[in-house]
Amino acid sequence: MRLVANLLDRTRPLFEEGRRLNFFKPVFDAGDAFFFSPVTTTAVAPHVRDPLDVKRYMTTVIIALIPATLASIYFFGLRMIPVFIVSYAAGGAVEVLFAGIRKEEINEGFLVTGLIFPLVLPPALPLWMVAVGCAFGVLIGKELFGGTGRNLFNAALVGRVFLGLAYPKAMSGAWVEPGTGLLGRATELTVDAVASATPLALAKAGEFAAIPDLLFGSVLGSAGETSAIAIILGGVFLVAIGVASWRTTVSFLGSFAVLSLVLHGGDVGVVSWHMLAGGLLFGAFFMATDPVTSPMTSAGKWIYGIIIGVATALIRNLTGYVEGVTFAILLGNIFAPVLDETFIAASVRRLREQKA
Amino acid sequence: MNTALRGELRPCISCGQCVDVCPAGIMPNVLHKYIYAKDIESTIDTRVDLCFECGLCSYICPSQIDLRQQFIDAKKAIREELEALIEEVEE
Repeated sequence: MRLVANLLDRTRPLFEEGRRLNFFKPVFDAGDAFFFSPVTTTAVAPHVRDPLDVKRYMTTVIIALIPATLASIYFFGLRMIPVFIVSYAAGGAVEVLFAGIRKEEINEGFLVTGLIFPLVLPPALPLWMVAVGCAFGVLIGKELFGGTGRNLFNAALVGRVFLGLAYPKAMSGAWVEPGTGLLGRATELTVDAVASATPLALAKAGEFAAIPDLLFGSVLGSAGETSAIAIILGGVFLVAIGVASWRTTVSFLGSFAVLSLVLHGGDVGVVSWHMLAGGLLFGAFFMATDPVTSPMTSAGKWIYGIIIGVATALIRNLTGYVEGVTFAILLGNIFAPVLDETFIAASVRRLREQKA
Repeated sequence: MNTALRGELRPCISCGQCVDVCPAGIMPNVLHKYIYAKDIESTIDTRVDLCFECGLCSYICPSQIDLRQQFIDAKKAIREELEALIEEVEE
């Protein structure tokens, strides 16, 4: 560690104001913070602070994504690793560029975006598309709104919608037959893209994949969304420690289940099949719960979850699309500020009557 | 126990932990956004005066925002503005 400390101390002056590498100061600071905890102390009371900072907050999401990530490598091969690297590189490059221009720190949010983005993509998508999609998502979905904490839409989903509209053929034909056996495809370096239908597309024709396959994940689908068990494992952990809001998850899944029951005439079997299929669980645990793009009021979170759940059920059952989670969450994102406005106004009315 | 900041200043990510811990029942994250936008009227409406400066929001904030200090400063600014108004009326 002393070697790293010496290197950092020796190169520190190069990044100061007016020096040639000043533009890359955010990169240097991020590296510094990665190796050593910041030495700054509190300036104003309270002088003791909770150790949970944004870095750990985001790292917790990464930890919760580990089961789904490992499942994607097991089912769809080692090619997922270069996909993750490309996604991080493209998203990170945009983040660094904007941090340099704004003279701000690199925010940790992209650590999550960079991992979550490939997990919602078809596994055999060409690498350049992954790069373009991630860069687009971070640039248009996040940085143009002012960066972390100010974005209106989930950056990863903006990238996914962009790819879906720009390259519909590749996005619907880059599935991979899931691996089976002890090691799955985790020993294979290359994969063959197939254009066969996903379980949700087959379900429209009345052909349902077996529920154990959906639970385990050995079906066609986006890289990280197929294995229900892996997602529930990570998702319940995330909700239990409070980083993801249980209100969003519960109201999303609940309203989806209720409306699907109505649309399917009370057929519990079909509804529970739909709960496990496609990106519903992944969306409910990891996408909709993004604190920045969901409402900040608790009541708002309930309504927000219901909007997403209802929209998902409607899109899946009554439109030409087989999967509706992406559009539903982006739709919910649009409603988030309005919901906040409404419920904050209600709280203010309640507060106004309170005596000082 | 030490006085390390344990992280760097970040924008508010609207996690809502400050609302959960606030014993005065106000919304520190909302107040922070109004103060950031220099919207004094909304800051008063959202009852910054109910804050009794316990500092729990500053303690819990993952973005290491000095919420307590911001509310103290805001209350001071509001008081000064009111005093100036009263003086103006009296003259």
